[in-house]
Amino acid sequence: MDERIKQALIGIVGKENYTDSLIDMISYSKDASEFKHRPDAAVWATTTAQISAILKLANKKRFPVTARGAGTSLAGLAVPQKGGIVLDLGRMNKIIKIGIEDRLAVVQPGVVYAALDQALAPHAFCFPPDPASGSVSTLGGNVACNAGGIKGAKYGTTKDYVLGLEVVLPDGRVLRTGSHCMKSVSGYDLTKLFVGSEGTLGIITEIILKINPRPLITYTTMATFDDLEDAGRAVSQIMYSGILPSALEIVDQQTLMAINENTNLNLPEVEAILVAETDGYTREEAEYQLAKIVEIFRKNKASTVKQAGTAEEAAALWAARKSAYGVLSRINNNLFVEDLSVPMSKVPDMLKAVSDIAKKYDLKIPTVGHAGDGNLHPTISFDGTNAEEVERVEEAAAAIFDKVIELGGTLTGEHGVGLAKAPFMHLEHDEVSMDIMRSIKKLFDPNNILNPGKMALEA
Amino acid sequence: MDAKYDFERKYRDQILRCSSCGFCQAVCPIFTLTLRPALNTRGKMLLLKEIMDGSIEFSHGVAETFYACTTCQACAVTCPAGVEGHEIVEEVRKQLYKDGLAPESLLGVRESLSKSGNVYASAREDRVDIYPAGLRKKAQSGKLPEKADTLLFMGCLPSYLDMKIVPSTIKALDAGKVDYTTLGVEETCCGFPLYLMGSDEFKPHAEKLIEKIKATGARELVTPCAGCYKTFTKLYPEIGDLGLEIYHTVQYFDKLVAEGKIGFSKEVAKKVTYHDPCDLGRACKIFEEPRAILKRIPGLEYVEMAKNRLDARCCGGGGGMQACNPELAVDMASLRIRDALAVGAEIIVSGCPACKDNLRKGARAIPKEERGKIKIVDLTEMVTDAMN
Repeated sequence: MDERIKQALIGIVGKENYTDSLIDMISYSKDASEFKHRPDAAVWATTTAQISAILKLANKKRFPVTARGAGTSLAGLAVPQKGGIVLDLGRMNKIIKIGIEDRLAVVQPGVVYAALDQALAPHAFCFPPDPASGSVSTLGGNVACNAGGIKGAKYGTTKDYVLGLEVVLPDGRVLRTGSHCMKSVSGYDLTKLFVGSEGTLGIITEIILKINPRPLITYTTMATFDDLEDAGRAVSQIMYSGILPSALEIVDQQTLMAINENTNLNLPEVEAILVAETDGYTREEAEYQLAKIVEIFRKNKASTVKQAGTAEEAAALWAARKSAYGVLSRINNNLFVEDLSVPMSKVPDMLKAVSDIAKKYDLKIPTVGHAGDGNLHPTISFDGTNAEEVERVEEAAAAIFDKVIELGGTLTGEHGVGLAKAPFMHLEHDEVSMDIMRSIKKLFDPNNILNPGKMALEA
Repeated sequence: MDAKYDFERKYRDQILRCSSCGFCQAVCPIFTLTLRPALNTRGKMLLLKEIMDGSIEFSHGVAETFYACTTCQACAVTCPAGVEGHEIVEEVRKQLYKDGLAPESLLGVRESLSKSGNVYASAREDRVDIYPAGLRKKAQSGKLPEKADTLLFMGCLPSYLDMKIVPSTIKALDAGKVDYTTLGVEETCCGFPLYLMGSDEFKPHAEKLIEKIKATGARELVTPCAGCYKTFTKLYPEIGDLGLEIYHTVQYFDKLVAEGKIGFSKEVAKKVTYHDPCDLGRACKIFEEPRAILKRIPGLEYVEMAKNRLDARCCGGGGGMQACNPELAVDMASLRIRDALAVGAEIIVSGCPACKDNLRKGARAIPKEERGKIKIVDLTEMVTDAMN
């Protein structure tokens, strides 16, 4: 880091909030993806004014700034690919306001998802998106990446809850978007523009979130299917049966086999397992929905159907789905977690295609996913030190992307583009679409200082 | 590829398996307070990956993060990939120690230990000052029984720093008519601090103590120290066979109560919670015995902290943190005290002298109007207070 820039940064955040020590640079070189690049320095900023001063400096001196929350991105969104500084927002972690009467919460970007959920619990409220990384991931990261979770089918994703933002722009100006209102159509929806912008347009410094009353009752059911197509049909029928499950998850045969090889769970190695959860504010409401699902499971030749009334019983039914990531991360030293989404009716076609691609490239590609919203996670465990295997993995991933687009799907349902999907953006977005995205980027960040190298914005 | 270091030979696969998901950040007590990713387990694994591929070397910076760990094992419980962070930290410390990169404060502890046999550099003969008068006289005049069924191993902290654990332990054993002896002034540190700093002196130190213990011919050993218990049960088997049953007082007292050898008659009309010491809980999976004892005490209302058993929050008292980073250790303890205050506890009971000591420091660091009259005691004290 240039000495004058270093001193200027120290002048802004203080000596104790600046680092260029090797151990920090290495810890900031990675997120949860396979990408890696060291920054030149990192700062822990705690106020909007500091961030404004940092961006002004970066814009003037032309050094990259990559915002970071908890660094849980699976697609390289938090990797400082072009060096520069990492702007760690983890210490900007105050819950500014919980306004139950207005059904909203105002938070700083470094608040951890679980911390907000904990703070809302005594009010019997919640913040529904529930990303799998919620115990560590920050709300700033959730918003910037538009995080989703297993409750997408009923409760949507982060974007459905962001009412307004405070954002520092690359020139140092502070932009306020949206409002504290449930409804607002006043002008362009600048809020949504920043949700999922992956830190490429501005730095989010305050977030107004819509919150929901916490459902009091939850029921879980699990069914096994000998034939994948039956499971697919069951999913479709549930989705047009007039009810909305709070979760509807699918686990495929490869995953079940991998879990059985590595644990003593002894799961049935059927073609697919579906786990559904219903929730509500009264027992009748949750039970009614559960009964519908069970009926549909049975009608579609489920080989077994189990139901849970207590939390312990529910945990047993969730075991296959919830142990999948842990098991798959232990099999080998590298892991690609894909994140495609297809229209819900295409879930069985996609699962079949993944299985064919796995055979073709001599790989095992277990898949779990959110059947209720069409978002699937084919997961490839592989030996990253074996060049030949890495090549097959990359070819298989490209083949999966082609199939996704053919089925009218999208490359990423909830993880984001970052570095992982950047080379494939052209498959999904035509020249017009890419041109508009690049124009927006130039409008906000003409000098390309914010998270450069991501989202194929520079090609 | 030839491994350059021992840690690599033992843990290469585990280190590579760390997928950098960062879930350890949720539970790492160091990260919780510092919010500095380099000090979290993921940060440590990233450094080791770079050391293994030759990109970086061991340095004072690397040492800083590897000695910033309480070895509480919370990360291992939460890790989806099954990485045993504490084991890797302990192994890496051996290399850092060998390379002369261990912190000065820990080297001071080593000096004290080699001079006096305890971490406080206190006189050997002072070790028995805390014994009740009768036993103390025997110990001072070399008249302790040489042989007994049960060997009571006090530990350094109870012997030199704590006023109550040793007398309480002895009182309960006397009441239960246990045939015991102690090593008296010959007792030394179990060596756990040497192990935690990565010193190669741990092994010879342990070998000497194993001989002393075996010479008593005891068939069981009882210790009120969670660190000694973990050392005897988890670390000594690698070095030599103690050849006896090892009990922590929370287990032994539970046994005495269950066998009717000690009972409770005095009421303790208080709200009480139990703090799981990492060295007993996550390390040795001893969770239920202390709770069972507390629930038998008349009048006592047992309350559970939100983070308990496998998910218990580390108090910061272990892993060498008190020597390396005392301020941080106390801040961690204050968080744990607030966990107890949040469930309305009036007394926090632990089974670890280091937890007790550090939790007391953590309580004192909280303003009086917030901490109220909260007390921190060892389980042995609760038992003797309520005994017949």
